[in-house]
Amino acid sequence: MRKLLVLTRVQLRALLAALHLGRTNRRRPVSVWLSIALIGLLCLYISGVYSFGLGAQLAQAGALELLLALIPGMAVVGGTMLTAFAAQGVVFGGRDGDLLLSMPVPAVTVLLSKLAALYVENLVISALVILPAGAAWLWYGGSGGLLMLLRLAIGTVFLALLPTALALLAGFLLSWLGGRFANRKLVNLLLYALLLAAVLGLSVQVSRGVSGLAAGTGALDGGLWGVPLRLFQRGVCGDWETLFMLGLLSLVPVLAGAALLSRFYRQVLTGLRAHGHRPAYRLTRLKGSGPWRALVKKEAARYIGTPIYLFNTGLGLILLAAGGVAMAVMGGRVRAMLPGDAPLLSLAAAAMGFSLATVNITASSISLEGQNLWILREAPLSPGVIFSAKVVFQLALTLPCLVVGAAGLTRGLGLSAPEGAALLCAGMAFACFAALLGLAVNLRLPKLDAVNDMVVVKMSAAALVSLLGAAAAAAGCGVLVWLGRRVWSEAACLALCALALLAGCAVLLRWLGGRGAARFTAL
Amino acid sequence: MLTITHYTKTYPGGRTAVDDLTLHVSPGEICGFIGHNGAGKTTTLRAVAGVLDFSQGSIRIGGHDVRTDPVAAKSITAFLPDNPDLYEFMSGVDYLNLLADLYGISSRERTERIRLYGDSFAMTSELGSAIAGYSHGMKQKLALISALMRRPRLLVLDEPFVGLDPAAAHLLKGYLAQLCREGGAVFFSTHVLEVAEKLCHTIAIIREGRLVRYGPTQEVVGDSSLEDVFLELSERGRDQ
Repeated sequence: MRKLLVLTRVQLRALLAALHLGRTNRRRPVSVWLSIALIGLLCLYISGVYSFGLGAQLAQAGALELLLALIPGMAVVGGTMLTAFAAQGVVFGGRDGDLLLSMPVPAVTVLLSKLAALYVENLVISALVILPAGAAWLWYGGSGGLLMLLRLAIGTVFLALLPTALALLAGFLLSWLGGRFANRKLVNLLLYALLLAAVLGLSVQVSRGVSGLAAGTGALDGGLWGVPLRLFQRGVCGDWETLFMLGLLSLVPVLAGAALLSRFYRQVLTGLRAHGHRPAYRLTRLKGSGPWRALVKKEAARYIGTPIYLFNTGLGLILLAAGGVAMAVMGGRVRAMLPGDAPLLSLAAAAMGFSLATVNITASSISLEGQNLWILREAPLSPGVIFSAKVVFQLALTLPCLVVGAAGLTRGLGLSAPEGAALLCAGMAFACFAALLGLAVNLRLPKLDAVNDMVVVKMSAAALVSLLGAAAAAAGCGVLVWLGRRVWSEAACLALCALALLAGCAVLLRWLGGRGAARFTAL
Repeated sequence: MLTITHYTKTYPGGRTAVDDLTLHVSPGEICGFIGHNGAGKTTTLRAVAGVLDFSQGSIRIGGHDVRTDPVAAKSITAFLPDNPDLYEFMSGVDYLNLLADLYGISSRERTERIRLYGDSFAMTSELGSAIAGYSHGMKQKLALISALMRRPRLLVLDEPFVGLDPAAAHLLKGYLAQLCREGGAVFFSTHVLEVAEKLCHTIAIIREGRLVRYGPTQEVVGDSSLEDVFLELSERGRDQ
């Protein structure tokens, strides 16, 4: 037991060290605490909005108790998705594997200590998602009061074990499958895409189920997968026995998985690390390109080779393009749902702007160089060449999706040609602004010593500030259009926004060329 | 080829890593840079390579100032850090291609050079695999190939022999000597004093950021060995 506690403490310190927290860091940067707090508040806000919205629908349908099953379900799915790669890296690929397994510590103890770190991550995610659901439950007339919140907290502690077990399984599959194929990054990418598609599919199903309930036409049945969620819901609503049954049901798979895996842990790790036969490479005549193209190709290789980077920053592009196609096909139905005097162009611009705000590829591009930064710093390249490759890469991905999105929105909403042109121009100006802003923010707030890419892409101050900054710019344009509509047409207001954004681009370019380059040199 | 004049590096917080360092490496010369852990060797090498910024002193490579004319200085330099971190999402050949593109090496030349050095270091057959799967020694070899294929005029190496098998270490010594015969220069740090004593034309010993001994190897070593000289200097430093 003592050894388990010691090792668990080490794993938790490693987790905190990844975020620059803990005793190893004498001067804790304020920005780290701030970004952690901001991320936490953002998660609470998003979860709160969703919980209260869903709560309102369910209360109307007389099925409020489902709130305490659906939201925890999302916490389980979200936690599994977010920690599957962590499980792959920490449990099956950690750099301390050799050190720990060479010590007189049972393999099950080593495994449980690593699982403890995974569990803590899942507990935080679950708490941020589920607690607002508890508030929504009480708001819409659910019973229980403070005792209910206590049961909710206990239930969350138990439920967080489920995504831990699922992440362990997913992590093993990712490690095992990745080692079986030569193109490991493609396998990781495909698996991540499958996971994402499953989550989206589940969300759509849940959404349809809830709409059916609200309309009095359907029912929601989780099947076998819904058992722990139903136990959670009943336990939180007052049944202590059911709550502790949930604890057992959640603990058993984790302990069983750990017990089973620990018997073969050494062999599993050795097997996963042993690389399959590498086909001998035959050197043929190599093709060359210029330095700038080589840099852009490098950005593309990193982007495709890092699933969390691709999906986290590329989801907005996928939604923009897919949304444009959907609007082109179903625009008539959408228009029918909107009031007659709805500002269609402004709505289209807002949807496009907020999608583009999430495409903050450049906001992580300097940080992701990490310990490899010396390669660019030693090369005979000016900072301007390096910056331009990063910005152009983001624009190369954004602009085609933007054109599809703008064309689809124009057609679907029946906008005129000048309106469509204004929409496209404003979108392009915003895309340029967002790309330059992301790079500037990353130079200002670099994180070159992150333990893994997930910390950079999802939790760094640069990623968050860039996202919020771009969203603020989109909101600012919205305010400009809203105020200017009284005097000019929507298209003219949008054109003004485009000019304002281009002025912002000019300011950012000037900064990047001067102080930005100096900051890069000083990194 | 390399002229370091009154180079001083002080980190934020007041710690002076290197204090008033001056030395010169001529074309055709191999200079060994020796010192205890934390003496300032890596700081100096990184500054020469243009990777670490500095504000006091000057460093010129082939007449180009590293601070005011960095692109020109870096175009004739190749740097190999200790324990090099390479792009793990790339294959070996992709990484070499990237470097070749950044240094403007033609398709024909890069293919020939990669074949030459790849075959020498027995790495050619591994170049198609992802760097993430390489052992430490393989990464070291890949980084060496990437440095040598550029045919630099100044080669800056930080502990280049760490992780190399004996055959590869022997090859590397041969290539360093060849580079110098062709008019280039080498500035490298090592803890393997026997290699430094046999290979280097000049030796610079640094202790706690200051240059304590510098000159032709024979003058520095005298009648004893480099190891004895180094240990004596270390003891003297402790007594002070």
